[in-house]
Amino acid sequence: MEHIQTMFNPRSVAVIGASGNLEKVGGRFLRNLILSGFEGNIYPVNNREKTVQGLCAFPSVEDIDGDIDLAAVVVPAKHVKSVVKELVKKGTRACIIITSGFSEVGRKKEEDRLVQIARSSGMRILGPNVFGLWSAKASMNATFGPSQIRPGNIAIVTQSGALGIAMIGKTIEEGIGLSTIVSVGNKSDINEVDLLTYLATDEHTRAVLLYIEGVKEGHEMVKVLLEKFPSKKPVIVLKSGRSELGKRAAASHTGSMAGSDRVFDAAVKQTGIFRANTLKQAFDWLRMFSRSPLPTANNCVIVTNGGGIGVMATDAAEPYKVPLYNDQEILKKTFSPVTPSFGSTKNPVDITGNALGHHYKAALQAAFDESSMGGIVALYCDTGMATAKELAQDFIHVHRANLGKKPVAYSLVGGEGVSNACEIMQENGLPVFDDVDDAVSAISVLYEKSRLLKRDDPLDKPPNFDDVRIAHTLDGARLEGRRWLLADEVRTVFEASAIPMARGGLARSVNEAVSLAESIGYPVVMKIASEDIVHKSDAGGVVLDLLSRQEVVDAYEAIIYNVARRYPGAKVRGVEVMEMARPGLEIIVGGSNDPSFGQIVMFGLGGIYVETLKDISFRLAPTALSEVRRMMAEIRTYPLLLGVRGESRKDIEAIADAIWKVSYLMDRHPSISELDINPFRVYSKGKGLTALDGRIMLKEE
Amino acid sequence: MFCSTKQGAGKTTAIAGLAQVLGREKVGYFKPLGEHLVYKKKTLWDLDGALMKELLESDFESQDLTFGFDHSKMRYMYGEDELGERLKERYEKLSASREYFFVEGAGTPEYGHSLGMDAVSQARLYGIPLVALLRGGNTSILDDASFLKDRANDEGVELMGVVVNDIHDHSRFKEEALEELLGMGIDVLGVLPHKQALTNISVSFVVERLFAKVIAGEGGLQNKISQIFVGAMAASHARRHPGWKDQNKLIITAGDRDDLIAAAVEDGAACLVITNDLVPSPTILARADLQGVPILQVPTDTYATAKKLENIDNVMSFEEKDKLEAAREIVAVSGLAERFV
Repeated sequence: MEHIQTMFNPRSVAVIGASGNLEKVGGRFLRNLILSGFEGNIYPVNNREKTVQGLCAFPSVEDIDGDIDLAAVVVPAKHVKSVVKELVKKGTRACIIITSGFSEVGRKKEEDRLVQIARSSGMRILGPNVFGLWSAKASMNATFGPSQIRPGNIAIVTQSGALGIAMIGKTIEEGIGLSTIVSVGNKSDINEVDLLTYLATDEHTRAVLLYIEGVKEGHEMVKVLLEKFPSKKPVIVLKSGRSELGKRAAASHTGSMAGSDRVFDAAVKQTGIFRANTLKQAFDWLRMFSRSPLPTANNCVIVTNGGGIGVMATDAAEPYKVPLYNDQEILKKTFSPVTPSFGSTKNPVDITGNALGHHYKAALQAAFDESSMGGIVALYCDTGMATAKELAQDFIHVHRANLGKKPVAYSLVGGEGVSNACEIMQENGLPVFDDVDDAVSAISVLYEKSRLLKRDDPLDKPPNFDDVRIAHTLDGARLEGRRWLLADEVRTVFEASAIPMARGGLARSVNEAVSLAESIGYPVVMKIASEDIVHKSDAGGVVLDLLSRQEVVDAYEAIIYNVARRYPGAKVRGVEVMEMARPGLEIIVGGSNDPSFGQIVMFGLGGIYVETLKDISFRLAPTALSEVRRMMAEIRTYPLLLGVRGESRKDIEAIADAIWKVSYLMDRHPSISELDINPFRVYSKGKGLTALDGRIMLKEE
Repeated sequence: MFCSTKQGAGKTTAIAGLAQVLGREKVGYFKPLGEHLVYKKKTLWDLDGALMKELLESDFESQDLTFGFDHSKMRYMYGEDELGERLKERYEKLSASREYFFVEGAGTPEYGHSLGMDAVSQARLYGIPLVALLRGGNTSILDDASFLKDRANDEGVELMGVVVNDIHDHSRFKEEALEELLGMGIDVLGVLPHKQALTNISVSFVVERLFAKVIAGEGGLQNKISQIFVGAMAASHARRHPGWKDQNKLIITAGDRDDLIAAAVEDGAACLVITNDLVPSPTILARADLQGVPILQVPTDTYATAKKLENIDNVMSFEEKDKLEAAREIVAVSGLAERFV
């Protein structure tokens, strides 16, 4: 980490491949570095020129007569290895490899070799295939991108170099100041996780924007976000590769595979970061975060001079989860003095089109002054009663007078005059948005952030499992060369992790079936136990509601016979005899392994819901109980658990407990690659739930 | 006691034909070891037993006409000693008041031997002669017949004679095998000619065996299938295939081959099996409903489906009147029934 800190605040920068030609990357890079006002030593390395852009050039790294904190490599790919070797010899702390032509074009081995060389001295590598980094702290523009970058408190970490350069331009246009912008490129060594770790403690950074295409080390990223990131520092993530088509594009872009988007979404929810859908939305949110305090109360008042846009904002408030201020008495008291009789003091507060600039100012001021109001959406329709400049001045005046009191999102609708006013407001640091919807979306992230901060999740006391027994069972299957656990092994694992399962056992003969049935008590269910048969009922391998010894005997015969006929090659372990569970609502709880985020847990309503509606939710394992409850509430069919039309409320606590246990089971036993409890039958509140069938699969060795 | 050396030799067909010629009310039937198991509503029976129950208008239930299927269950229920007694009891109960009584053995001569329930052991148990059903090339007929004769001799059971089934070329059989059989001292009780109707299977039977979902054309579930066609080509190419003209073909194809499916529905087919759980377009489904061409949907891929279809055994049901009539016809022309009178 120390070396990464140095990378953002070096005392010296060597540019290997520095050039006097500004059309070359090496030329532009050096020019940016010189012009940015970097106060440390700059060492251009060029083996042909004595001076480059007015600086004394060194023929090689070896010849530099001082320590190198940071080196930028801009030489052709074939020379990069020898340069890295020299830098290591010189004791360089960090190195940015701008040069492309490594893993992104399939030369992964060559790239890995660079990292290997660097590791020998502990030098860190950013890149290859990056535009570099800009650091406000060091006043250092170590990029070949734009030379003008606005300093501020937002950090941008981007996987795409081109988009990163474009984003620099956009930040200037949007009036967003940066603490840093870094491109991670091929992430051969330094990746998002390292940078987030650094940014977590960087006092110059107030919010972070992350653009990623694929997440290689999702699990570590989540850890950093959960454990190291100050809860007040928001992280906005823009991830491409949401669609199947997008995924392919992402995979071929920087050679990284896009993980499952749903799992990524789960990670977003769990870590309390913000996922923007578009670049515009990400920038809107950034502006809001960088310029506004959090709401002082969990409600929002809309002040407008036009009924239409007021209603539009009200409509937007619901999907964006912006709670509207609803105390009619206070609304009336606050806004009556500034609202004409034909206006409305209800929320949205409509001071009507007749209102002049000072009326609007007064209404806004009233909203600022009323302490019970947490935040403001200020809307304005152009009525032609004021010039752009007057309009802007009015807004700026009130905004400045109340700076930092509570958040306001502005949106002005109208022609050229309004556009000009917006521009002036923007330049003066007011969060103004093109559209009513954008304004509501922008303020919504502040409310969400407040809610996240107020979350007081009780600490999770991990469940008590018989982990030795579980590990022993899993190893046993492994020793037999199996990846699927047998029914009785699944039962053992569930028992050892206190996951409730219907009573039963495995019968290897008709005698055993009968004695099992008699010990369980009728009615019983019988199922074929064979790892080769996936659809047991299709194979004629499931019989329900057996009431007597004779029925058990006949069912045993039918199952064995049917399966032998239909799956002649299947390895049959016997027949599972289980208690016949009472009817109830069926849910599914599962676990799986994501290549990037690791062990995950899944929940949904069983049967048709999971198959046809894909109505399921995910979380990374282990999942805290409070997070499990949020995960459960996320599915569309959640109201069915609460009881609809006279149906009783289901045992939600018991479901949460089971999901929670499965998440810990997945986490503590990472050799499990897949786990399914389906069907999992749930009863009314207090009556618990029962697993009727389970499957556990181990990872490939 | 009817026995054979291989599955599908035609024991049930011969008995069904005999029952019709000799008079249903005079004939009784017992198939101690079931092979075509049906398990519904917690009851087990054999498909052949179900056919005979209907055909013979028997007072017994289908499940009574079979004793059991799985060896371990029979061992558990009766034990080896009790099993013989119980079998004999059942035999006597079923054969009482019947002029002719046919016991159908398992498909192969060794099946059930460990329980003493193979065909020869049972013939000895009930004290009845053996009739061997033979089917196949002339050489295998000779091998099977001499083997069964020796097996019967060893056990002290009388081999009444053999019935040769599914003969395409009677004169060639006569030339190559008949004299030889007689020369071995084996009586040929009847020679049953080949009948196409007997080898056909119905669409509904395929639906049951493949666990298929019928998604259109339910009206054609009784259509007969005589040929299987794998449609993995363009419709224009399929139409040039000689097998395409057969109206009794079953076509296996993927659900995204709309051109081929549409052509099959138009040109006529017994049914279509759509693999990988795909669904053809609604227009085609509507057309299939209209034409009565059943469209069956299965989750397996084309190869696995074709393999499953190949292994389906041909079982006659009481609803298949044409098959029953064909069975009657071949038995009648062969003069087999007279040998039992």
